[in-house]
Amino acid sequence: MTETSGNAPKTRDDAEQDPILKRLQQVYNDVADEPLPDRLLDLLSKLDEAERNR
Amino acid sequence: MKDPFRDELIEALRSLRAFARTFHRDEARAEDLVQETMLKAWTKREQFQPGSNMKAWLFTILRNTYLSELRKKKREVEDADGSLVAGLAEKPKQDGHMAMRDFRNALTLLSDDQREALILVGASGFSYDEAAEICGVAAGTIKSRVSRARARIAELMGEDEADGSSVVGDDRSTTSAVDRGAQAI
Repeated sequence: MTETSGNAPKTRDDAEQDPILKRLQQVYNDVADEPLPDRLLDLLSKLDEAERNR
Repeated sequence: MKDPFRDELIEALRSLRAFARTFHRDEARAEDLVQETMLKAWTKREQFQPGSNMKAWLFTILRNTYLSELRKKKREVEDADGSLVAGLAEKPKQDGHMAMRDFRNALTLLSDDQREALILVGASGFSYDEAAEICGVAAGTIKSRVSRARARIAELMGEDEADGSSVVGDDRSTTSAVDRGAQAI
């Protein structure tokens, strides 16, 4: 994602210098880095199928 | 069959799950929120402008879904399980460090507005303008929420951390406000 305004803190790079950002991203990425749960993928397949049958 | 909408949606799902967990401590409820968001996005897919920011669009839907469920629930009962205190205090298995626990607790002590702004800009990678769009406020408001959130966390974590000398992996116990907060949770 590109920065469109001002000096918003950037993502993983800047965080090395900033303990608050570093921890914040660790908390967030604990979840974001997980593989997508099957439930979600199943739902997506169902939506796909419904879309094809429209 | 090629479906760019679907591909972009999948790409945004990981972030969306992380964002959902900042609203619900309970993992199953966070997943429900993500599913609900996906269904809504799929139903409204004609409204999505190809080439615009899919992630921001999904975050907006998720946030609105959460808020409308919250309003519905508030009419029924008070927040019975305290899920308003965000999902972040929950300590995952792999994270045994005192400093990280303090940080998670500090996050829960922020106001909802401040925490949301900090997460959107500091972790989800949105610009101030994009975060402002998602929350329906001015970019300047997001900026000031982020800076107040940072100041509050620094205060809660104790000044000895301000120089960054003790980053992650610090097992020493502190007597900061975070400890008092942790007891309240």
